[in-house]
Amino acid sequence: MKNIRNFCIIAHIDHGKSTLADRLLEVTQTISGRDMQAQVLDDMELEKERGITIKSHAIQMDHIQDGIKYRLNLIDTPGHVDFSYEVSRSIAACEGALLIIDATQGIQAQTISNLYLAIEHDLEIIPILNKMDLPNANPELVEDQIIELIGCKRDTIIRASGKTGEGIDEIISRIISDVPSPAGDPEAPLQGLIFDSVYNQFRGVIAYVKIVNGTVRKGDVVKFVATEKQYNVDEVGVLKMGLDSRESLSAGDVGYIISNIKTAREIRVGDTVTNVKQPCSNVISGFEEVKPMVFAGVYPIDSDDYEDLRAAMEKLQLNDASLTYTLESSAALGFGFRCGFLGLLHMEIIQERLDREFDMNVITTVPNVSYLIHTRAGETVEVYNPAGMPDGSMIDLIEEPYIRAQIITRSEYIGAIMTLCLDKRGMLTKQDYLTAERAELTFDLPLGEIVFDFYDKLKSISKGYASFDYHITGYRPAKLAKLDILLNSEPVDALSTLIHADNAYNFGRRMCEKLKELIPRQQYDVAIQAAIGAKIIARETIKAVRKDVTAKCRKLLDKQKKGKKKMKQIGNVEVPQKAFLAVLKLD
Amino acid sequence: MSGIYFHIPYCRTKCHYCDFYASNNIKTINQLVNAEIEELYLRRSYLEDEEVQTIYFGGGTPSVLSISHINDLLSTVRKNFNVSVDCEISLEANPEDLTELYLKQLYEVGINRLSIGIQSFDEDILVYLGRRHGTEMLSNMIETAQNIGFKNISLDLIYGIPGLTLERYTESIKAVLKLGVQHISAYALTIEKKTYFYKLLITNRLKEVADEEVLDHFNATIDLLALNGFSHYEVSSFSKPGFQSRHNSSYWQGKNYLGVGPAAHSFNGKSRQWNISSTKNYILNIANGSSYFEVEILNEIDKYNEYVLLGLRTANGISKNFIVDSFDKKIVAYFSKEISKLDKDEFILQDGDQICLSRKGILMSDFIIRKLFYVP
Ligand SMILES: Nc1nc2c(ncn2[C@@H]2O[C@H](COP(=O)(O)OP(=O)(O)OP(=O)(O)O)[C@@H](O)[C@H]2O)c(=O)[nH]1
Ligand code: SF4
Ligand SMILES: [Mg+2]
Repeated sequence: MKNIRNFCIIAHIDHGKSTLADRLLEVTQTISGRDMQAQVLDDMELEKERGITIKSHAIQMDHIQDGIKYRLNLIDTPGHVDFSYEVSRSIAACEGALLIIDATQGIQAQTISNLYLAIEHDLEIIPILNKMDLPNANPELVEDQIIELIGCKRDTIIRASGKTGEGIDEIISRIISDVPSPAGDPEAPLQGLIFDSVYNQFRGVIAYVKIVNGTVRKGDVVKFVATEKQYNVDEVGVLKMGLDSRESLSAGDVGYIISNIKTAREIRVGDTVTNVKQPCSNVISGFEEVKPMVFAGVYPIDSDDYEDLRAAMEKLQLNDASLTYTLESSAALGFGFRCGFLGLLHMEIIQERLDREFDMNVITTVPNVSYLIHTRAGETVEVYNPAGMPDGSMIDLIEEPYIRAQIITRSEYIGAIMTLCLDKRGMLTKQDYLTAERAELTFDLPLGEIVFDFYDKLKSISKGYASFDYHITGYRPAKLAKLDILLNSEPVDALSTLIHADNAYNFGRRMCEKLKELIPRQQYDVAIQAAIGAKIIARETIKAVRKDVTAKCRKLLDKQKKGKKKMKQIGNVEVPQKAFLAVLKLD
Repeated sequence: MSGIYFHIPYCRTKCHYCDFYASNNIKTINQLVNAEIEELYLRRSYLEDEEVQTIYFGGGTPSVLSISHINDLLSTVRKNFNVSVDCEISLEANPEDLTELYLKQLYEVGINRLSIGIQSFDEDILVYLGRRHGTEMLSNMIETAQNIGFKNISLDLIYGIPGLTLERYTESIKAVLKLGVQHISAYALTIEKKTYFYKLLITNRLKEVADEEVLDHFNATIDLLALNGFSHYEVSSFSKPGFQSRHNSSYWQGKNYLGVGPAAHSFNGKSRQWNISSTKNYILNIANGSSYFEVEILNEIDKYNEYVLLGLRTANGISKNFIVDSFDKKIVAYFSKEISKLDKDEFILQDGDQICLSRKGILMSDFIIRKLFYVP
């Protein structure tokens, strides 16, 4: 056990975690040159396409140093804010963390927030300056920032490059010398932390586990503490490029357990696994419940697929513990789920994963945050969707969630960022200059204003030189209106939004304009109206089509082969899937 | 009876409105013809010795074929299939390819129907469409063809073109009628993605013609042609009595046909077969004996959908009794429900057992077909 090192790689998005992991895998010969490709741990199709890590990924490496064989368990984590829950779970399985900082970018918002997560769990931090190969790397300056942030000595910061391989050997020696080997007693009763899981079509649930105490063997009968269910262990093993089975896993090991768990509902990430014959006396403190930031309805395109969607959500939740959902129904869309997401990227990724991994084509409705409604009767209810809003006459006060946002940027962009935040009803609470050119701005902002396009706007006005992190601070009174959209006088519940009253007019007008663009012309005129209560505040008309014909029969057969367009029929209006997200596309 | 279709995916240049354009290098044409000959041979049993009553060369631009190409293809057909003596053999042609010599040779190898893509008979419009022929050349060429002996000539016309007024359009139809042809195909211009017109449209250099104006052109076409003895027997086809395109009619009558060449489809009553659309891969796969098509076995729903799609485009329309007798209750119920809605909107006409498109419905035929499509 003294030769095991468990560590994760944490950083701000794009600072090069996955690329550095590639080099570590190469040097330790965990992966052969033939199988090597860039960001090899990003094995989801979506991760590859977008060049972004979505899931944490654990892998074991063997390494011999000074004649001693070490087992190094690496966990690569995502950098995007929406996936910080992945980071926090990975940290719980480790004793050390490589904190990567891009030498051209310096400390960024998630560098700080992820560092704090690691420090909270007493992880040994190894600071690494990455991308040293780039001509605009600025190591001295960034080292100053790091020293200031974590109070380390300058000579403990490793200069490295995931591209050229510079510094990789030093990183490995430092992991071995600095990261403590896991504590724990292999002879004690079994106590293992389930830090992740995945559903496999053939093998059922595969639970990823960090053994804190004791040993688990093939054939043992184990119990999951929270669910109180017992299982026979079919297989245990370690995580290499694939699953690599072993006879047992002991204290300090990171690996997997397969125990014939068939449904996603039977297991919970954060739970403790123990032995039935000799149970442990206390559970490992699991993970904090995640608090979703954004809510949206997710509906099957074909209402008959509701049960399939439910099964898909269950399986997906197993692999993404930050996804929450409850049953919801809509007049326009039938049965579906109100889902909670950690952010818009998270929402988009879930929609994509449903499509790719479960072949579930879904409609996602306009996202919103949750509100606290205080009624005249003295009750307080939390509302997650526009339909759940009580009648105006019953409402005493509405409160909306606020966040504290930290934005780190170059001084030349401060003006533009201030304008953007004030426009979003933000209030500047602090402004610190980190260096002469870099400032940290702190704003209090309504969460509802940043869930849509704030991040994109921030990126574009700062030309990418602004990083952003936030956390919920509480609720504050809000002036809120429910904006309904009517198609040919029929309200479409899935298009309703809750919005700050001052913005409602402008927003309603733009919604109508956008929908006019997105809904194809039909054989009737289609009236699009925006309304608050009974009052129509905007209107557009889509003129009827009078010509819809393919010249040649031969061409029509070709078209037909390509398949009918996926459209959801609402009343007599054909509404394409993308129209439901019109609100996100308003500029 | 059955038909054979050859797909010839080459064009000399790309017309501004066309999304059917085949960007293949014409240098590969010998290889393609050889591959098609090979396919004919491979599939010589596909039509089960049924009599072949129509042969059709479509494209792209089949008139890029040399006479010996056409001859080779036709003689392979004659050797391996049961070709009827009065077989209709059509070739789609671009006017500029139809020189006197080429016309003579076509006639000699057995082509007896020409479908000529003139598109318009208005000088300015021809330039606008990116065509490379003028109207005088057109009249001379058609006269030559008739003198050589072609008794079945079809011309393609496009209406609803930006800048083409109703007046000038009717003028051009009248001029076309003087040419004495037997068949006319008239299409409304649709601006499709991946065309030059589409690019003009999205960069605001072209304004789409309003639907109402297109409707005027369409009505004028029907009326003028009817006045001159043409019957409107399919969405975009008009013919003198006895000159309906037999080949196209066999599609919508659900007859068997064998489609040869890239992207061609075939039908034998039970399944539809689609050749791969890439010309390069088609040639390659035929050469090395690997698969070059996919087969779609038609289930009951597919058969219903195809019956509606193919039948509704014709003047004969579809038969209610046939649908009730041939298909599942669920499909029939769906059909009846949609038909009554379409009837209310005056998109269709019902006459006893027969249902066909109304005038207003013809220009909305894709929409109507989509509505009637049964998707479980
Ligand atoms: N020049 C140079 N580029 C690098 C280096 N490391 C990473 N990159 C590039 O930086 C980009 C991001 O690299 P990733 O390894 O995907 O970054 P990441 O931190 O894993 O990103 P997330 O997981 O999405 O947070 C890629 O385009 C890499 O090729 C380096 O050392 N030098
Ligand atoms: S209209 Fe005919 S000739 Fe012109 S590009 Fe299209 S297929 Fe080719
Ligand atoms: Mg990554």
